[in-house]
Amino acid sequence: MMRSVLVAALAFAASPAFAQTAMKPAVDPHAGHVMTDQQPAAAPAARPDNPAIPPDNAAAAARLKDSPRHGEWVDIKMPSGAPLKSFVVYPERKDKAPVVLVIHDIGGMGDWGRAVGDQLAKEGFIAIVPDLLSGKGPNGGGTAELGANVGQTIRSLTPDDVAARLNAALAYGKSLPSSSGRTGVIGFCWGGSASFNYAIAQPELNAAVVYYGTPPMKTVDGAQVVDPATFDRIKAPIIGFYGGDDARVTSTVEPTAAELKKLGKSYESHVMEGAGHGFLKGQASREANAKAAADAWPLTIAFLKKNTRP
Amino acid sequence: MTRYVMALTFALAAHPAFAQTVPAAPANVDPHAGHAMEQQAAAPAAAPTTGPRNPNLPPPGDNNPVATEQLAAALKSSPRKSEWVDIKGSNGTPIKSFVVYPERRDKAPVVIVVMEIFGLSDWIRGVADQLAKEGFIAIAPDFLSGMGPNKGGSAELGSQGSTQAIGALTLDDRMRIMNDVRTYALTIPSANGKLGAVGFCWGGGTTFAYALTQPALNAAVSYYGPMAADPAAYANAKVPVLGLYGGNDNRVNANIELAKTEMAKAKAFYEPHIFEGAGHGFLRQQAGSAQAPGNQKATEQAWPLTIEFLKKHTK
Repeated sequence: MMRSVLVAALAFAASPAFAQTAMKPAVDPHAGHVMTDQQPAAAPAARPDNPAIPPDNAAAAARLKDSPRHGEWVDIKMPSGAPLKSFVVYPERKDKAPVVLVIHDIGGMGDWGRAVGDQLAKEGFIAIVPDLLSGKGPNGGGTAELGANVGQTIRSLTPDDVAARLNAALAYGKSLPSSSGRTGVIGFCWGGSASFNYAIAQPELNAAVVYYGTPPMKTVDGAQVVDPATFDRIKAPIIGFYGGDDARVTSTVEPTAAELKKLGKSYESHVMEGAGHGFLKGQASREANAKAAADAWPLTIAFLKKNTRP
Repeated sequence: MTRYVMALTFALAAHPAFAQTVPAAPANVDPHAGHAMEQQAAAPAAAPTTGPRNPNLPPPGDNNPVATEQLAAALKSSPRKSEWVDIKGSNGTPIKSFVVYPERRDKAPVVIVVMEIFGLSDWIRGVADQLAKEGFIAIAPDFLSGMGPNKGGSAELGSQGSTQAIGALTLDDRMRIMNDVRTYALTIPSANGKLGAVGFCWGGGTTFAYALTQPALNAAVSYYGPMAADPAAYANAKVPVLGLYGGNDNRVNANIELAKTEMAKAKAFYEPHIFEGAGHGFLRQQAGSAQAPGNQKATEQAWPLTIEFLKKHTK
């Protein structure tokens, strides 16, 4: 455990769920073949795709193709009546499952976000990956139709827009006959911020996971600082994972933790030493990212499972 | 995370025969899989498809090299006559279809093979060939005909593209295509006038829906197809339906009780079988997964039921 861990409200080391989950890959049969070839401690950068965690961006398409799970595209109806184009993946289980919304990054809807959804389904969740740019592209299209304009368009979405869209996805998820009614959200980069904001906007949410996203910000004397004005609305526990080499985002962690602690909110933050922004998607780009991904994902799953239990 | 890696290495070192212990291993870890686990203990199946293929079952369609090779070999070595046919579509778009003929001297019943959400795949063609081996004329239509690039269909869309495009097909579209294929089936000189349908996943749902709307169908087999949630959909049900489901597929199974109740009200035959420990898509993914170790066993049980049911109702 070389990384620095900031624990605001939950002492995760004391959590019994942690030890089990962190050990999980050791017995995951899918990991077996891959791991056999690995050196014990310092796995090299050219490590093979580890099926126990979400893929590096480059491996996402292959993962989706090989998935044994049922994934389908659904047009979820938004309050306006327009469709929220979403990819939904179902777990292989006989009982009802919690629902997790997956919020894509600033690049919009893509294979990688869908592969994260598939990985969550492997862990027993119904995953809904909405294209939050649905209807924002030419001819009523979304990310695919926007092409190079995705980055520009995504900035035009207000937190209220995003919350309304996520609410439609959440309502859809809860209405599924195989859903347990328990819900979580996970987001990355731009979607990490959106995940934090959704924890503020949606009191019925049971868990929020933030990967390298900022909380609401405001400008004070020309500087961007954390804006805690709406923090008191948060009901769901939040867990955040941040790259040690991502000061833009990671500098918000301590003030966020301090404000949430004042309010008695549950916030657990992990700063992954040496990792950059977007480390889960960019696992292959540096060794510290691969390590951060391998460390962060089991904590993510343990957190979601714990907080979405019936 | 040193601890994690060490534990992993230890686990592997301690189990040189790791691959063989695969089905049992995950039982201890996933708290969600609780119920499925009891089944695992009772039935430690889920051998990977490394053994020779059982020629009395449809070929596997898993995404692994062994299954891919077995499927290709099954199609290549089939002694039966198969052909691509453009079936006339009542909306003007031809329905590209794969048709396989049985080797028999008398007239045969026809079975429409309804594809998965991945489109008209090699695996679906393999299932059609297996049905022909059992004496049926099998027709596998490409429901995505004309919807791919350059007026192509499933092949041009690819499996992921098909998954995306298939959402554009309404229930009416699906029923229209089934009826067009049915019309064609009844014109085949060597057909005996009896007609069945068997569908998988998306096609299982389509097949069940077709059984509820087309009374002039003799039998319908739905493999893990989602069922109508609206009781009104079952009001005129007449066609006997066999339903084959994976135990670990609650998305689909959540509506089985409703379907049972409504089919009974309509006095229509509906026999659901739920195979414990199997997942969605078990007949294709015969090797299964950690969360669906019972796929192979389910395949071995479900396929003979399918053939028996189709033969009985299309005599």
